[in-house]
Amino acid sequence: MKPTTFIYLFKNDIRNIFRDKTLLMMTVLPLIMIFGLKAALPSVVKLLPSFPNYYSLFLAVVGTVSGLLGGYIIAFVMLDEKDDDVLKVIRVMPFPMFLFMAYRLLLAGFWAFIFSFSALLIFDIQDYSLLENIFYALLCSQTAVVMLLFMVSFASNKIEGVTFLKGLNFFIVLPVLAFFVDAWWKYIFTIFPFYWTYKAMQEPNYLWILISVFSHFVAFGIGYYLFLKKTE
Amino acid sequence: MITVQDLIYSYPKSENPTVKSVSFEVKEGEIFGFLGPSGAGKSTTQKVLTKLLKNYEGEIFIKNKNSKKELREWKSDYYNQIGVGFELPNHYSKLSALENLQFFASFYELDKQNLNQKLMQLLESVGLAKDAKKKVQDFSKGMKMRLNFVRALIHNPPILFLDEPTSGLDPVNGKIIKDIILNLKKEGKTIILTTHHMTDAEQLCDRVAFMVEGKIPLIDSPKNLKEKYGQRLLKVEYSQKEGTNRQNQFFELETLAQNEEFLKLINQNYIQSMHTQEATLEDIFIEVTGKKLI
Repeated sequence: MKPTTFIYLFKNDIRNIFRDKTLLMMTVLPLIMIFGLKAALPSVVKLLPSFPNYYSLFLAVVGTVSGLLGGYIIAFVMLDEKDDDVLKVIRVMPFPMFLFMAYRLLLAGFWAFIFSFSALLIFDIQDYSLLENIFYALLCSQTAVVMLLFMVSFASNKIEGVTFLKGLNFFIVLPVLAFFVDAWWKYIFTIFPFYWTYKAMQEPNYLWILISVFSHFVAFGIGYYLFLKKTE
Repeated sequence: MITVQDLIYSYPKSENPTVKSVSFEVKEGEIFGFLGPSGAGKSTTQKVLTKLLKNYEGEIFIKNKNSKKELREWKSDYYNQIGVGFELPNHYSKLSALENLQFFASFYELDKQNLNQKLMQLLESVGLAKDAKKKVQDFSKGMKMRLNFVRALIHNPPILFLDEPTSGLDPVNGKIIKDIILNLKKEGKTIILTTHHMTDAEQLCDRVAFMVEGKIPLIDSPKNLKEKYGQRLLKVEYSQKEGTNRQNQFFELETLAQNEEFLKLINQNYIQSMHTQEATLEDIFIEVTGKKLI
């Protein structure tokens, strides 16, 4: 195995992204979403004067969704690989599959972090220090890596990937309800790892942060297991 | 080079094994073919040998190394030793043919100098040099198959696994691929191929293993099989005059020179054709397995 292989992998991914109009659009989509929401924010505050009390929760959701859009780009590159059946070829290369996946997940994580971090910086509605922004962006971007694994495990092609994406976007926003209702069923949302990210940002507490990291770690393990099972 | 003993493989959730206790040996420098109809277990056997499928029963020794026990030792190095040509095309469709080869070449320890030139030579060898910069998504199936084939040769491996290498190719390109395979054999490479084309097996293989329903009932060279299963007869097709009704007559090969009836027939009649009655591999396959090749 050569370290330069990673450079070729990256070069290859960039080529695949820039030669696909949909993927190219997805690289700017988070920025359009962020700037659009930022422009709409004053109107929302006018309509809902208590909205600023939930700025942290809002940032958590926007940070997570922005990160997910970053993760989706890599997920779609991987779904293209599934469509083209090239994973089989990579499996007969002198390059361990776990390193290939580690590269892909790190890239997805990095891309997600950039988008989450950008979202937090561009909104700039909470008095977070740079370190806090980095830390919260890391928390938000965890979800993208986990969801990438689930997406490439369950979707066999890009069309199924888009369906998965639509469903996931709904589930991503759903746990927000738990912060506004006081009924027993709000605890159902605790099964979603990203719920704990929202909680850790809205109600800062080391325990919620730990649960967020741990639950994402468990979900990552399940996702990776499923991915291996599906690719064998 | 490769020894397989009592290999059994079952796909997950499948009740019956796809490969049922097969044993065979592939010698260094030979072309060993699996000949059988679709679903016989040929590709599955090859996938086990290329480690794409795990959890098999039985023993596999490649270059005297047990693939289970010494797995860790040569896990990824094994892939430096082998080249795999898949049955169906699998490339990055948004990349050009050359970019695809460059990308897969990056996985191997290859001399960077003249690499592009070498890759272009590979493309040239299968008639794809002029399409080197064309995106693979614009290729025909035959072009993709040829690209599949040369990708397996990028790192000049000593062992090649080729799954239906002429599938989807026109006769001209099929012949080009077969000629390259025969040249690779001359270079000393060990080649394991699967096919359901008996002519490919006949033209390429030193030995063939008939595979049907996961079993190998017979392994031998095409020549031996033809001798063993063929009839040593000469079929003479003749007519009394050119353009009149044709007739056939059979003669024993051993006594042909002394056979007065034969000599008289060829002297007094118009000979349309003469053929020895060798069995084709397909005939032998049907006789041995009771199954057709398609």
